[in-house]
Amino acid sequence: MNSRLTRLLARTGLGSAIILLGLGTPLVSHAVGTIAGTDIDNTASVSYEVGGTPQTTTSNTVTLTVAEVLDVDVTLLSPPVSVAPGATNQGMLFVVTNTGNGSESFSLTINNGLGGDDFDPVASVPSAIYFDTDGSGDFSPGDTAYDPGVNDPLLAPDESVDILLVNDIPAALADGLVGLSELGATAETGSGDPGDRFPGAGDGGIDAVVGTTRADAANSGQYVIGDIQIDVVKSATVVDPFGGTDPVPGAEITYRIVVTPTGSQTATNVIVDDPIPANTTYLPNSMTLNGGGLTDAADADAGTFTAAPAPQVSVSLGDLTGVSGVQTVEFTVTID
Amino acid sequence: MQKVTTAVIGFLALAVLSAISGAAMAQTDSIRLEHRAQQWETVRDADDNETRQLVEAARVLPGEEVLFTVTYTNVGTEPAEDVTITNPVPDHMTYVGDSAAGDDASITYSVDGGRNFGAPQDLVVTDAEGVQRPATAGDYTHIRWILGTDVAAGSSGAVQFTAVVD
Repeated sequence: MNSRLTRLLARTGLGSAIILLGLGTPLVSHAVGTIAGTDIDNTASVSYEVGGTPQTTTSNTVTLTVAEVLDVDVTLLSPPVSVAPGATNQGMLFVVTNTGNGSESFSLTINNGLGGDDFDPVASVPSAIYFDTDGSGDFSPGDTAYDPGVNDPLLAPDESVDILLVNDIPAALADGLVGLSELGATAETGSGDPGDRFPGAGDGGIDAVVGTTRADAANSGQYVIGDIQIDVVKSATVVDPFGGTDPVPGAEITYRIVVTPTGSQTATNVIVDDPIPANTTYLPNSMTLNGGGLTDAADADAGTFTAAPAPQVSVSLGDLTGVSGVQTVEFTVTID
Repeated sequence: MQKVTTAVIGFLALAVLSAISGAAMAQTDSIRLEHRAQQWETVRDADDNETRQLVEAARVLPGEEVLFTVTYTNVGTEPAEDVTITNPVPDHMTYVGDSAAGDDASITYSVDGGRNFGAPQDLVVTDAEGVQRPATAGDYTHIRWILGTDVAAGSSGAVQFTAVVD
């Protein structure tokens, strides 16, 4: 029994790579205050006695209306994108979040002319801004092009949308050079200095006020020339107590994770993290790296078993290049 | 037909009665309450001196503080005794700790929608797991001012608190 459980493709040029097997995509969350247009009413009451007779009275009701705060956040989701010189349609993923308290449309812009980099990516034609319609995180045929003024994203408070910048890479660039591409998002009701007011322009005709983000946010990501790909293939072998291969209680499952780097760049500090599956128990000191035993303790060797908060094995592979060769991690669990 | 007429007369009689009782109640009201909401605004003069002034609040933003003032006036001819003013902390707002004030008033708070009132150190809240903890200003649902002196005919006073828009 040998099944391919998961396959991750990590591309990285700079910084660290953590290979996380299993579930879990962290989501950025933002607090939004009371929704724009909410009426806040308040009435006081008084009780008292006059000549021994109890009486009560209420006050007038004061009503406050919550104005619309215009705020937006742009966050880069992609790690640095490793690209080959001359590559076309290279996607980079961002998330645009309405951090204001009303519904708002945002106009999107791309800027490749930033300073502080080695080359300028070239916006793809016909469009360089796409909605990640299919949710793949990569630029793919199912994604919808952004058409300014036509399909500007309308976001409810706290709602977000994944946006891809898509660029072409100039030819003849040396390994390691970096090019920046920036996504900007601006509230269509208005932007400017915090506190700037747009009377009557908010949801339902209430006032709109620019928040701390100036209702105009931008963030950039990196394209890095060079390429390193890390293929991860996980498989499992079951041995039951009766000499067979049935996954019954008491059977041992040995997981094998094969990491294959290819390319010309270096992926630094590569770590394989794998949670121990539910209803199984990790077999102590069963971790191996390329056939060599690893202890569970967090010590000089590459392997660590962590029991809490959730049991997982973690094996540090260090820096990997295309000539590092295949790295094989194995560990064993027992079915409860 | 007869039945219908009777019913109509009955309804009219009821309407007249409530009109009379409404007028009667208005006449015996001794205390009149006036409620207002204000915010501090910083103004800068030509010499760049900043001064803070209170302006009437109408449009508010999350995070802004609002000062609520309840003015009581005895418009009757006799003193009002045992005067107790109660004000809920508005929905979508959170009471700002130690902001309640009132001349010669004992101030207590409720954390249960106005059923029970107590001093801050005596209030506890119970969470979803049944665990009790001391209440904080953010738990207050109502504020109550009990005036220590009678309000004489023609005299007035005020109580205040501040809350922040959630």
